[in-house]
Amino acid sequence: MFYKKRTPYLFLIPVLIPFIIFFCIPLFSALYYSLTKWNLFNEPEFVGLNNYKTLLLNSDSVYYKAFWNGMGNTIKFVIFSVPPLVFVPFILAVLLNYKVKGSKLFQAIFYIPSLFSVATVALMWLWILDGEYGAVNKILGTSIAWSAEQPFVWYALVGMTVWWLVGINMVIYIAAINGVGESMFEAASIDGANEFQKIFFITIPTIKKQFMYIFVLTTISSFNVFGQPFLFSKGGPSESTKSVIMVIREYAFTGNPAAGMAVAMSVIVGVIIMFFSILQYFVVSRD
Amino acid sequence: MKKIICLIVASMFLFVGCGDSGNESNNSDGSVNLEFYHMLTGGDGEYLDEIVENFNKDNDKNIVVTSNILKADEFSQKLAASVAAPDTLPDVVFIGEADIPLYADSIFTPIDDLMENANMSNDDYIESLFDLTKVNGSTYALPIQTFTWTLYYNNEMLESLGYTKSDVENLDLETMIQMCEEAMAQGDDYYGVSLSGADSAVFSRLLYTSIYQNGGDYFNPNDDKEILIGAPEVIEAIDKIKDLGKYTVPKGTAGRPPFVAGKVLFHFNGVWEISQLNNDEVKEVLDWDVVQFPNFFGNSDYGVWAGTHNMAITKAVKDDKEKEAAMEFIKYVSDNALILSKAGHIPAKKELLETDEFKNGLFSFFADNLDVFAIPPLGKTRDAVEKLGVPAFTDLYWGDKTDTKAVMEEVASGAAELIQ
Repeated sequence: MFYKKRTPYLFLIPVLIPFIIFFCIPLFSALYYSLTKWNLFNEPEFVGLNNYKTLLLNSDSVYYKAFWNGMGNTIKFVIFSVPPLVFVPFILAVLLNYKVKGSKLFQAIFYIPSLFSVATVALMWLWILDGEYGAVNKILGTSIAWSAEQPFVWYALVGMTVWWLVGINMVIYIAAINGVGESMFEAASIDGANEFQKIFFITIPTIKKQFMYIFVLTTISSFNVFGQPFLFSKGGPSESTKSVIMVIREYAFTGNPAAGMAVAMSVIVGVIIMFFSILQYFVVSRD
Repeated sequence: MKKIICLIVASMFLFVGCGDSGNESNNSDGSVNLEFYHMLTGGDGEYLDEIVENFNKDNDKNIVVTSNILKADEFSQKLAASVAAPDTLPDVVFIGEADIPLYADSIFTPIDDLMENANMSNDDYIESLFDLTKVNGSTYALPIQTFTWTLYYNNEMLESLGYTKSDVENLDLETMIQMCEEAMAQGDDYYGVSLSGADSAVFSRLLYTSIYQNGGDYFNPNDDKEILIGAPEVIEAIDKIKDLGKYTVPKGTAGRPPFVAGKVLFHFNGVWEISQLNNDEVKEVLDWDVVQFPNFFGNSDYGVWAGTHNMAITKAVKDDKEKEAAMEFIKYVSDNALILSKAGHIPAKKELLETDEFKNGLFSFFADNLDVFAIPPLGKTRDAVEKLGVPAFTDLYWGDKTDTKAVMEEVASGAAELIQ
């Protein structure tokens, strides 16, 4: 009897050990280091909640200013980029679902950018949007500093991110839409529903779970934005596109690090992401 | 029982790749493999790789060096991230002088004994450069070369404006601004100045050069708690120099292409760009030359930002034979640093400066001006000041912020908090 009860737990070991090593230990270590004054070189000195107090309450502190500037920029990026990253691929998926001639080709074309690395994407757009020699300015007959002047930097960052990642969400939507029963659309057609009514009253309610999945994952990945502003705008102008992850990296790893403070920043970011994810879950999954 | 055995075997598979593979660099056939990282992403990187290739061919001790290149900020991140796990480091690294005091104790190995065993002497190297490699009396790196910021210019445009090389060699800020105005009057897409890259490194060099020439500094080198970035001479220097922003190729536009296209009079960058401009393709379209960066304010405190490159052995190297191999490699690079002088660098080894090859080189004149090489003081205060001061200066230069005094005083108070 005991043997039978134990066996299922033994099967968990191959998953449980990596889970402890790669998830639990780093998580609890991070929580500990966030309570220390540590520059990577010294023995971490326990300072209680001082780092959190500085980051949350001391508005004169350089850490407070850097963190909340980064957080504000990141939230802007989330607000600007999540809606197009959720809705543009849905529109593409609906259009491609009509399976007109060449739809498979377009599906591939839309998906290809997501295979590129962030470095490739950022450098490519840096040249396309160069103030003097970029193709976009040549076509428009302008000399806009897309990588260095607001609000154009935000347009560029959001535009390149949507161009880059739209294919991934599109593929998820296509798979979801393909799973909607054909008979429902046929019945709706017989009842006289037009195409928009079919989308709003059949497609969207049926793939609601996938919508929620894409919404939550896109929000989390947008909160973690790093590569695009780091490589394209270098966080500028005037640190207006410096994301919170860029701030954490700067304080954790460059020059004379303030690693304890950087870990505290990342814990706060983690809590904020968790809060938004839970909020989204309840809002979107509400019947 | 079968189930349990299956589970154990399955678990073992999980850990197959996780064990310490041991130090594989000292091989059973007597050869030694060394992993080498550098951050010379400019035109000078190819010359360093040439030296590595030559070493692999020339050395008779079966030492094989694999060279890897990383961007400077990625390199810096890798060093910091390796503090907790020195075994993950490459064996030999090419580093700037600022990294030596930051990482000396934690990831670099002292090389005094290794130098002695290899019959190398401190006296073989330029003293001021060798001093920068010492921390608490121990030597943690060997100086390879030094380099400075320079002023490139468009010769054809210069002459068309009625100036000569002598005017550029004796330039001050006022004259430079006047020449920039004349250059821009030639057309809408003409500029006085282009900045290579326009990133934080470029602005840190312009900032330090300006404040040094006006008698200021980042902090007091004798007391690193005394931060001087908000001092009146610094504010005065920035207020003067930021006028150049109006004549500079706008932000968001790469600096070199308009310079190469003949649309810019002056181009600011380090000596390392010499090798990128010194090719037939560029020469066909641009008649360019280079001089020592100007003395903007005509003060006696003439100095221009400079830096050094050094080589260090990391704590990933534990075996004595490997340490000797690493030292042999470092010595070889130092002895052959003339190859790097093709990119305008000045070898740290004194005897190389006396060779005909160096003296007859295109840009050996930089070596005559070693006394104006101004290397920012080392230590964590420099990092703190640059971390906050360079973005602030960048905003002032582009006109995104205007109140220099308020901005730099905020930098000073922020830097004071960072070094606590």
